[in-house]
Amino acid sequence: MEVHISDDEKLFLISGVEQDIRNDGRTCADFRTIVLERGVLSGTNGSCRVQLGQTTDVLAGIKLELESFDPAAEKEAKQPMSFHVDFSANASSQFAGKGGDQYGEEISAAFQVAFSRSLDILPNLSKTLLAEGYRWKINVDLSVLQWAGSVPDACSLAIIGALSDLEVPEVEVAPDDGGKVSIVLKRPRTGGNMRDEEVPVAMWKLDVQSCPMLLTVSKIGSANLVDCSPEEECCIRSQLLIGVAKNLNVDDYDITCIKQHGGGLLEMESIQDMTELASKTAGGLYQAIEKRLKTEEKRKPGHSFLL
Amino acid sequence: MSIISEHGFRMDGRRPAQIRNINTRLGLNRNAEGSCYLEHGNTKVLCAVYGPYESKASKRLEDRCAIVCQYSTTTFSGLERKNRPRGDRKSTEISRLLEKAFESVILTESFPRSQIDIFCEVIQGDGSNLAACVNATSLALADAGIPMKGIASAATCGIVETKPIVDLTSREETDLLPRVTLATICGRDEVILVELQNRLHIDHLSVVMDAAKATCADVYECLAVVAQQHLKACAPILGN
Repeated sequence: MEVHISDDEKLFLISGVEQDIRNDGRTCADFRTIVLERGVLSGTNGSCRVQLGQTTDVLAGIKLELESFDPAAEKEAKQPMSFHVDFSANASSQFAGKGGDQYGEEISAAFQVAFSRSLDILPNLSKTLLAEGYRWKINVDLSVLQWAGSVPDACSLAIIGALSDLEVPEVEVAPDDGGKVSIVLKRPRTGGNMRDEEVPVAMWKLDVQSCPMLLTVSKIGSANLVDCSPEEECCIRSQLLIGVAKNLNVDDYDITCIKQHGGGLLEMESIQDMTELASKTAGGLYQAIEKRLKTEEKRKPGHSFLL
Repeated sequence: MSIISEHGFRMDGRRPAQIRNINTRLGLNRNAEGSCYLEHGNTKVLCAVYGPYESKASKRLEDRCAIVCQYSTTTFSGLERKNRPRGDRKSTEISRLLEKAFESVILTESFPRSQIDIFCEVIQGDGSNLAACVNATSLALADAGIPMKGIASAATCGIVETKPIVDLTSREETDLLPRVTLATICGRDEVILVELQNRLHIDHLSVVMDAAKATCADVYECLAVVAQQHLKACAPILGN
């Protein structure tokens, strides 16, 4: 969706945000209403759908894969997550064909950077490393179904939702012939008259309370904004993609990624201000997510989420 | 495991001639002229229609409007993860099939020198993806108010030991099972799309085609109800 607004409208918008009032009544540090639903796709290991302000709509699905790698080739353990953002043509006809690929790759790359130290950040992510040379690969795929600004923000919320929904099978690793290992799914016997392959596999979940998130902070006029609407995105001077992760040890926030997006000029001091705004916003978001993940009712698998 | 059990049921508990539940929602995409979310059981499809708008010079036709379709599947839609959501041979083929089918449904002469974009996204694929896309597209076009000869409906049918089974799931879409996807207008004898996969004995062809035609008529009944209900719900907005 391309937005065309006149110079006078832009002026109105810019002078508004400089006085901390946006066109939809929010202040500069406010997010739009967030809708977060988990467990929406039965065909995935974990899924989540996030809507921002009823118009930006992102769907995240995680597929696990048992990956073998060469431990000698990696100096230090590589983090097991890989991200892929796809802009569906449904969101806007400008994304048809290869139209959304460039922006999608840009966001995917930023997520890859923001999550590059996730083995240190997420407390139990190292459990995905099963044995020397084997690990669970976590493929996080995002599909942007509707677009109305702030796609990276919606994506990072969907990633956190999907990671918290993700169930990883417990496995038993036993040494095998020729220095290899055999990996078998763990099925704890609870009694009852069942065949071995009918016993459900034990699962474990990731601890996502410190999961990194990627926020966009935009400079409009002299003000810094989060969660921009499409009209506001027309007026952006410069935009930063800032990765923030909660530090569980000192109760503060770490910056995991800073990327300037879409050109423009920035002063050094502005970058400082913008990262501060990002970590402040992240604090609110972490609280809201934690509350939502606790209170969300468990849906039955395969319910219709877009109805 | 056999596809039809000895008691005459399929793996998901359906009878051979029974379709899965169809759930729909129209008009959920605010940016598009028309949109539809459709479920055939676990197959979930999202379709958006943009246009008609003035087409680019490369696609412009002087006497009618150009139909541009794009079929893509999310990378997590199938059993195995895919690397690319679109652009592979199968997606391109399905896009072209949809394009040709809807060129003969839409009254293209009403919009010379314009273009209509149809975008289908399979969010979760559990068999009969092409049929689900045709059904979703028909409803999205109806939602966009684009004049058509009628509502198109489609179904995928297979044949197991001379018995036809309809609305296949991905577990039933095996390499050996012959399957036909048929689309008709208003459940009548007007075929707009037919596609056969795998090898089928010629004696079985009429059996499968009859089953497919009957299923298309069944699906049409469902789609017509949805379209009418949506129109009723919109009546206060339209002012009558």
